[in-house]
Amino acid sequence: MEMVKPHLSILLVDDNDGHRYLIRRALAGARTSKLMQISAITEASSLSQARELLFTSPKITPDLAIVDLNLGDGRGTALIAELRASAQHHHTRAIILSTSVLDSDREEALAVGADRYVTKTENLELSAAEILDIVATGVS
Amino acid sequence: MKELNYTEIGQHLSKAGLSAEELLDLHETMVSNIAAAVIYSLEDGRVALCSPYAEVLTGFPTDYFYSDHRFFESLCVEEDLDRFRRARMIAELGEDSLVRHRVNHQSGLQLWLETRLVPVLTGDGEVEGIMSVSTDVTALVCNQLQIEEQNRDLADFAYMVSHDLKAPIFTIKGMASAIAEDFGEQLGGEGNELLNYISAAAARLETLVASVIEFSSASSKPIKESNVDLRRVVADVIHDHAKQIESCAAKIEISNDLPTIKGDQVRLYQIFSNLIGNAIKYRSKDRPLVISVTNRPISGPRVLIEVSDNGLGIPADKLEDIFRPYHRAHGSAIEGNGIGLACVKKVVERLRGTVSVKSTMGSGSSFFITLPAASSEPQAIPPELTRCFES
Repeated sequence: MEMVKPHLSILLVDDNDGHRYLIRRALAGARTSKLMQISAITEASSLSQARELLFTSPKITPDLAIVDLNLGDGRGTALIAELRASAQHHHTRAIILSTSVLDSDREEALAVGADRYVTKTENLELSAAEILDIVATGVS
Repeated sequence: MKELNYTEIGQHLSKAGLSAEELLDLHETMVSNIAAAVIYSLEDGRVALCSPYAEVLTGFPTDYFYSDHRFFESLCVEEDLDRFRRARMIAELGEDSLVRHRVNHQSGLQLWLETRLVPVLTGDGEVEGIMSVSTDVTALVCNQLQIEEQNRDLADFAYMVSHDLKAPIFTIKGMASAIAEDFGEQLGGEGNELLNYISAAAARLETLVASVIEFSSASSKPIKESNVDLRRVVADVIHDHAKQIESCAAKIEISNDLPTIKGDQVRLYQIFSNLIGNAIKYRSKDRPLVISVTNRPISGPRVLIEVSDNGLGIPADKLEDIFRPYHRAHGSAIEGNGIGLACVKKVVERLRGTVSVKSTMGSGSSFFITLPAASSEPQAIPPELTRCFES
């Protein structure tokens, strides 16, 4: 009997259209579909748009938030901190996905409560697998 | 009166056959015209001598200095006062000291002075007075500070530009890959080849950007100094290079007495990772690779570590520039960005060490790194206090 794969809804926050396309493509790729089924990917191109989706009715409640670090209107870590402070989204898995390799950026992300800091690499499908691995331990 | 004939100056003066009166005249001429503030304070607190240049450097007449042997010290800027007092303490204990400090000129300006404090000893070796000789180094210090600031700005700029380039490079590589996946068949051989050119160029650009970031980081990232066990650092490097070492069947020889040194653990890892990584990269196909990391005991508070290999070696005409960024000993024949040894040199120098190389083409290379030894037991007069206190 085939094991039922958990379904996953994702909020993807990145101000770069091209990056959002590539990340969405990687998440839907062959390797990641073996881990779980993605039921929805909601995109936001700015911090303010993400806040509207999360905190203004009708609110979304994603299982996972993938957030770019350097957004046009602020730092992705600010959104992570707001998720952690929110009663509704406190347990949402949150990942910072960035091109930055600075230790200080990684430390900042983990300090505000990100589950992981992942760098954008050429092999995005591997990155997507790493991302979903985090969620696999927490999504029922 | 102290005899002069046991000093070199005294010997020359003696040979010149000057009388005592002529010597005194000579002394007065010298002190009156020297471009330095020379102040001689006796052990009982009296000031026996103050050169006229003290007024030039401070704006205060020499009477002020004669009336209070601590007057010069009182002109020190507060942040530098402790440093000056430590230097004075060293001199009072019988050792020369040198200190760079600021003074408040009467006009309101602040000047940088370099003051040498010399104990004047009796025949029994007791300190009977302190001679201070101060010169104006304001221009020198300001130039140094300006250069340091410009270097920091350049490093920060290079870092930020390189960092900002990573996002578009990610897009180019990702999109080229997506086009190849989705439209590869329709594009045909020539179309796919063009895509390969795009991907390869983006990869080279990415490598270049990474190297600029690495070098900027080596130049400007703060150093966290502590006592570091080099055996542990080298073991970590070997562990992290295990796959490459295994794939080329390299033999690694590490001496048992690698010391504990004063440094930054992360930076030290960077040094040895670059050197060992280079040894693996530039190995010879004609013989099994052997890499040695050896402690070479030397006298003094420093250590000397040799990292050597039996690889390709470095051409003699490339040795002089081998530590400069983007200079590559073997051109583009072997993959690399030409930044590794430049980073090694930059990091070693920031850890107050030195690096040099000896190499023979066809035989291999040896890199020699000196670094400060780990903190030793406290002494009556800590060695660093007898050297120049620089801000």
